Amino acid sequence: MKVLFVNNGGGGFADYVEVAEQTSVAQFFEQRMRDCNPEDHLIRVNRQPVARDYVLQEDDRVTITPTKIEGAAR
Amino acid sequence: MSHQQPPLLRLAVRLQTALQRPDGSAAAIVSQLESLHRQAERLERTRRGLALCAQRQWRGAARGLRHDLQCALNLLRYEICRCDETLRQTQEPGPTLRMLYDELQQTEQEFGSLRYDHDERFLAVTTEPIVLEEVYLGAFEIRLLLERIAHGYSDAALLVVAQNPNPAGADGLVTHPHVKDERVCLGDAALSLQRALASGRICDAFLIVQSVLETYNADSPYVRLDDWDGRECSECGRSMVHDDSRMCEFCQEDYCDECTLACPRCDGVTCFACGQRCSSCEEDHCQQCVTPCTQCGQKCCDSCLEDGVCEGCQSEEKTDHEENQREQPVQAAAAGAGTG
Repeated sequence: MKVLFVNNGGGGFADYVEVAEQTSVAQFFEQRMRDCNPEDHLIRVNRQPVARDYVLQEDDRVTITPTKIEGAAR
Repeated sequence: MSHQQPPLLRLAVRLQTALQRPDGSAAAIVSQLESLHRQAERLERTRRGLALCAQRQWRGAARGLRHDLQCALNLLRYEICRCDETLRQTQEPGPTLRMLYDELQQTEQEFGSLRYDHDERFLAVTTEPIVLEEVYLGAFEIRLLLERIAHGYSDAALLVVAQNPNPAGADGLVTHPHVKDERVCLGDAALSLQRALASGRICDAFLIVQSVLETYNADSPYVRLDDWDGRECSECGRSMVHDDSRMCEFCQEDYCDECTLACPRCDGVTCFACGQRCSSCEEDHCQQCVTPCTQCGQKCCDSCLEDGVCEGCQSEEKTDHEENQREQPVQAAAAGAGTG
């Protein structure tokens, strides 16, 4: 099934991706954000916070935003 | 009234207007196609030349034209890609009103409030108070300027305004290690923020900026957090923490230890502007420990003055005295010869 995945880390990414049925948010994060800690990210499904065991549905919108992003100085 | 809270739908309409693509998109495509056409014509000329060379067995000329062909193909490839990118950008639909309404609603939920300033035309959210490495920086208002959202330069569309400023001691414009004069340096967030704004993902944009404010990058701050309470040296501008600063006893300004001197006579601290160099020993002293020579007026330290006279003048006096001593017997002898 397809879900809209918005990743606000790195260069930014927003597109539909294929996800297996019965995939939970936690599993989705592990698949797409390997080596990242979910506790360092804001995870929203359809603009709402959800439990980590929420099972994704067709056309859900999943947004992942890092809570720590390094700024700089000019 | 600039602090009104308009209904979200009205705000979404304003936002949609601000995010509209420039009307010149068709003109941009036509311009790209003209460049493409010129390269295609160049390719055609090269083709005709090569055909002629092949027909007449002009191998040398053919080699030259092969080089031209390579250049023409590279330029043609470049123009095709540019045209394709321009077309793609102008075909992407802008965000719908529904989407923008949902964005604003989510923004309100994430930040607890959202305000629109009608006079200066910006959307704003306020963060929670931020503390980085035990330095209290206070809350920040993140302002998104609607006039600049569609321009593509995300940092120009943002202002970050400290609500309870605790600026760096060395630079009052730095209210956060990565914010100077209300401009945030986005660092790793620049590209993702630009894409969020281009897509109308307003809430994501605010969250991204919040993430930057909640992170300290010790490798590239305007002012380091461990120097936050420091002051700026009045001479060289270097940031100093309290223990490293010295106050000149005369002008009362703060300096770093490289821009002050300790008077060798009284141990007083003085800056170089308030200090005075002894003309005799050339050591730097405070201005109270040098005195003008009563003879030449040059300023000297007490060690180089004897009865108020500097060593140079003393030496001259001594030389004059010795010369006088030598001349006296000669004059006496001359006087005696005159009377005899």
